[in-house]
Amino acid sequence: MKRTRRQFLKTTSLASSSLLLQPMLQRFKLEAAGIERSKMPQRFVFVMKSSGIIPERLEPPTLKAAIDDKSSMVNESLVGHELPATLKPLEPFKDQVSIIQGLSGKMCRPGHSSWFGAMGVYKTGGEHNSGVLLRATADAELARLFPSPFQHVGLALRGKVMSKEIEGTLYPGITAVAPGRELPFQASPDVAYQQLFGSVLSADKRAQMQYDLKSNLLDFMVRDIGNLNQTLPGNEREKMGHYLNAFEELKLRRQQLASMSDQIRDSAPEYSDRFSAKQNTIRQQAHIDLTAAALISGITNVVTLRLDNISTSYAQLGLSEKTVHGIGHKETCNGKTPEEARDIIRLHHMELLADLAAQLKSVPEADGTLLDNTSIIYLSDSGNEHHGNLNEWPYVVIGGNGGRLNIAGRYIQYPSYGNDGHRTIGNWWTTWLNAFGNPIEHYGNLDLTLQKNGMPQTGPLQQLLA
Amino acid sequence: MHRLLLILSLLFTSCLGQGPCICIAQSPVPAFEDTRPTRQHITGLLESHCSDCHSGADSSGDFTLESILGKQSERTRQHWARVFHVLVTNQMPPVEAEPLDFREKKILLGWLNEELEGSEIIEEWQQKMLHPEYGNYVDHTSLFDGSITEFAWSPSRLWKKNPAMFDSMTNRGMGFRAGQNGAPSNELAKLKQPFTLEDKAGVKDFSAITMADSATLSTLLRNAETLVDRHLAQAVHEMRVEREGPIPEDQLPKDKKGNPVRPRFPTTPPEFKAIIVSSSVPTDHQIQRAISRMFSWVIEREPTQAEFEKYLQLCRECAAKGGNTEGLRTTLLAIAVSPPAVYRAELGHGPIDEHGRQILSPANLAFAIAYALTDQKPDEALISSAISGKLQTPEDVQREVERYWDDPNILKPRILRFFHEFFGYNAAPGVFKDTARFGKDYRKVPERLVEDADTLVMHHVKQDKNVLAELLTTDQYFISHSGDNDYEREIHQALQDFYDYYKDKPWREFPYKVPEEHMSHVRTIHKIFRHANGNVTKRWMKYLEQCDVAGISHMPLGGARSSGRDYIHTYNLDERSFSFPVTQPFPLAPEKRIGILMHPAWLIAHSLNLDNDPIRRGKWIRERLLADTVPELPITVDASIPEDHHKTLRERFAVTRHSDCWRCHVKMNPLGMPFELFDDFGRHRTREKLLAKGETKPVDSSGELQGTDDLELDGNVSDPLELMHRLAKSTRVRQSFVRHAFRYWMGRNEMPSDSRTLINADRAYVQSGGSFRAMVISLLTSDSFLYRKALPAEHNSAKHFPGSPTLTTTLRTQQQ
Repeated sequence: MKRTRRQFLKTTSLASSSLLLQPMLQRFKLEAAGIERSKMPQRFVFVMKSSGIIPERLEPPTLKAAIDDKSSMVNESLVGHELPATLKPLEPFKDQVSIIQGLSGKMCRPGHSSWFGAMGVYKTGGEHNSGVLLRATADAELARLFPSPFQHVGLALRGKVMSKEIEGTLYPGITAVAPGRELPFQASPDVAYQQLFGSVLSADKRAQMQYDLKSNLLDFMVRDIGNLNQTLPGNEREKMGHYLNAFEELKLRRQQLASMSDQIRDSAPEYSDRFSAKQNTIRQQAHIDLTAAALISGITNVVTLRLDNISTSYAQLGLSEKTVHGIGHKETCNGKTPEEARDIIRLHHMELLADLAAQLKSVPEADGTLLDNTSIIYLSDSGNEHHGNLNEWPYVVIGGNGGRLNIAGRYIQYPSYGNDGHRTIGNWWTTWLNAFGNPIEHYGNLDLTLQKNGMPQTGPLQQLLA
Repeated sequence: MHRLLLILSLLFTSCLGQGPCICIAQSPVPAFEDTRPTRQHITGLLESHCSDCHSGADSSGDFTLESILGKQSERTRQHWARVFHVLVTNQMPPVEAEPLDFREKKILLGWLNEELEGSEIIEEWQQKMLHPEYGNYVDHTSLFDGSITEFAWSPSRLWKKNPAMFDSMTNRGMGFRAGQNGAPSNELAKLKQPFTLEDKAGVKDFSAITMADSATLSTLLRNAETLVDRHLAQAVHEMRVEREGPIPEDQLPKDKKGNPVRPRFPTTPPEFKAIIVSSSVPTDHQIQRAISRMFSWVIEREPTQAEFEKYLQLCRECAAKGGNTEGLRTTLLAIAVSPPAVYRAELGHGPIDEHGRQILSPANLAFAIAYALTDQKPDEALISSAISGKLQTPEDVQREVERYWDDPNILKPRILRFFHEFFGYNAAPGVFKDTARFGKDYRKVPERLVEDADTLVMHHVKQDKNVLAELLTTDQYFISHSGDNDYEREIHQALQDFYDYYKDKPWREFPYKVPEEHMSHVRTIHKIFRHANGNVTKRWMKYLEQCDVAGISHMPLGGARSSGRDYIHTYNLDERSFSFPVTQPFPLAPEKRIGILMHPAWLIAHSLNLDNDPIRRGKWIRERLLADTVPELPITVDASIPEDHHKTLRERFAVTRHSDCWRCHVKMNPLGMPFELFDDFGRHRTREKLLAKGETKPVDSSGELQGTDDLELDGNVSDPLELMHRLAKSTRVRQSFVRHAFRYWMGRNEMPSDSRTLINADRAYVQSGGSFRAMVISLLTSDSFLYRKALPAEHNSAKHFPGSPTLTTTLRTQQQ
């Protein structure tokens, strides 16, 4: 489908607050050049909020009767049903919006955060401690299936669930790339900008120089270890060879990025003050733009975005009196009830996600758009409440999921905890892994109570697999 | 390929001329010293041992001897590979059949190894033998019978630094203020562990299986950037202010009240600052000082001349391109990710002796001794010994190891860590439990139990008498106790004084802030009351009053031990009736519970989420105490125990009696079942609660011990107490303990050539009345610890490796 520049601008101005014209033009240039785009990788964006997602607030009002019967499954098209009020910004993508409810996660730690358990399906951590990195979390497992120069990008507004850290490399305790290895998250949008696009563009001259000098460093190390290896006993050369390879891999990534320089230059947002701003909402938008650009440029296929934590204040939304923690503890805030305050925050989040979706949808890919091959998964690390009891773990998914899941444009609710047919987040993440090429029989730990009661809880959610 | 060469040589060194053999090499075998066994010899041996079951039409196990006879083909080679597998993993002959004697097995495996050379199964086996869990496949008898006369050595090697070394470095500060209580320095809180080890049971840190890869590098590089940028920040900021003027207020971060906050940085070290603020090209001397400073933090020694020169050149190159600051930054990053920052080198030094070995250089020895007992570089005295030529002989090493061991001011975390890795009780907090079944608050229960077990272990290390036997059979335990009786008496008396002072005062009405008239007094009683606010005072007084009324001695309060007393239920105790013995250890319940294997920490660590795990417990005893092996679980086996709400766990395990299962389970079940005397929280019981609500059955805690090589010890046991008493008397159990200590301190599995080392360590232990100290010192002064052999020899150029620099430049580490 050919569209005019005028049409792009119209789409963008309607749906996106941040103009990313260049990447779209680049995509169209490629399309015009007849470049094969039918075998595009799947992209994932995991958007992790804090303080839970209240299941009732995701229920389309016109489906209430079916939803209220918690003993049986609901699997309804959203066509003909109004989205819940705070999900209205997603209306333009309604055919690619999925609301999944009723899955439990009681094998995880209840409370302010389930930490790595939220996407790793096991109990770990304490009030302040993110706990043990037992296995690669599901987002990291999916990243492994779709390699890219930046295998898995972590962006964060804040660190651990109660942390007040807002700058630099943070470890929020939600994503493990392997047992014992946490994914580092970048909180500073300007630094993230430099790290992602620094091969072509830089925030400032010093950052550019540091990027250039890293080439000297890598060349030096490769030369040095190569020389050293000649002096080692034969049996230990292989060992040092692994370390040498690690430097060569870094060099290779820089070469890959260099070969993608036009693409990166065209996709990267123009550097501006918003990348060094301190206000939360502007920083969130900056991270959304970085996410979109990183996916569009192809330098990564997977981003995990820690959208806030419970120490975040949404003063820019008129909620200056309390942090997310206070609101979560049912305190009124600037005259709003806690429910109203939560709705304001959720609406803002949905506007951000709608903006991200719009940016991706504006990029043609094969017969459709990049959004068709993307899954934006919105969830909370404390499940269903501020102190999640994890009886339920709601998800909102936006995107076409590469056509590999039967969820787009649907409201799906599993029977509640204890009822026949009830399933867990272990089944949920197994479904994702199976759908995208990891044949694992079951991902994550089991719920011991369900196990004790003989309730089946292994394998994927068959109804969701395409 | 190089690694394979090493492994081959490790396993088959003395047999290469006569045909290689697995694991049992180096022992003289008269019949085939000069001639290779023929295929007829081999088939003859197999027929005599295997034909009863594996011949003819009714052959069992889907295998017949006929399939490996006749013309050789790829198919027969596959059958031979199968024979190799069942022999090398001790699966055949079965337990009930006549065993192959040592000599026969050596011949068979040697021949098979040669026949199958280069095959997948041989390579796979060689790889497995690098892992600690395969160490027991090295024949136990030949290691200790004195038949092997080869001189011991370890391979020349690079050994990746371990997580504890990194933690120690970040704790000591790397140029910043040190952290407290083992935590990283505040300035280094963002650094992440680059040297992870696989989290599995047993000895973990083996040099051959740990290596730095891209994951290590990405963490190291990120750490290096954080460390270096933090050190440079102040000088860089000052330069910016000098160049551009003060930062405008609107660009400064704001505090809660919206006031601008001036940036504050730790002081940049003078060696770095001199280069950053210099308006001209830095001098060689300035750069060398900066290099030297960085080395002292991340490599913990002085650089060699060659290292100085190469980093000087790098700094000059980068400074020319990016200015002084960026040139320095890049150079410091390079040092932080350089090989010596990742690997410690143990390559051997000096002339090769008549056995093809080189002794470790004094520099390498100093680090090896320090890392054997601590997580940090050698202390000044050890460095001085090495520099002054007093660290060259086993006697020198013994003197330094003894000094380290006996100096109470030198922390030696590696000792307790060995017992963690050997016994594995410290895994208890990782076993997720359905806490409702515990009936009490389960938070921190396993952590508290591990602390108790640690105290018990370190008590026996300190006593140093029959350490293993005591740990297996002692009826004395520590509960909520530091192990220091003087300290405990002091705390106990302080609490009594605290109670006596308050008991007649209105403590129940105290606000959060206790009136100063009281605080001024209780502060003088003991420092633990410094922060005893109203809530704390009420909580403590309530418990102390309860003890007073019940007439029992109170447990300690405060600090790490304030997190609940519920955990003592795992010992079948109740805080309402438990009278705390101030002097410990004390006899807990000698007729019900003895030793570390009946400690709740060990029992929980070796349990399942919902139940006991007799298989894992039996396997643990089989492997750790009896130096025996259990075959891997065949992938075709669905290893699940049927649910039956009316049967005990032992009864449900009856399915493993099936002949296919029992071949392996016979090695585990009879050793693990006696621990059914306890539930999966470690509580002693006489009746087992069944899954069916309200139903119970009497506990059967009988079992059977086989495998001590001692007819007086092998046989049926009525309960785990009897089992432990017998195991504690076993020579084989003691030797197994020595073998595991060897693996831990050498960072590899034992080879046949380590026989003398093991025998000497065992002898040292026995002759000293069971001194753990004597055993470890024997290991750390053995040829296995001191000598290295490079393979192939012509590639050994250790003198060029940065980890083995000349003494004077290496060892004078700058004090921070």
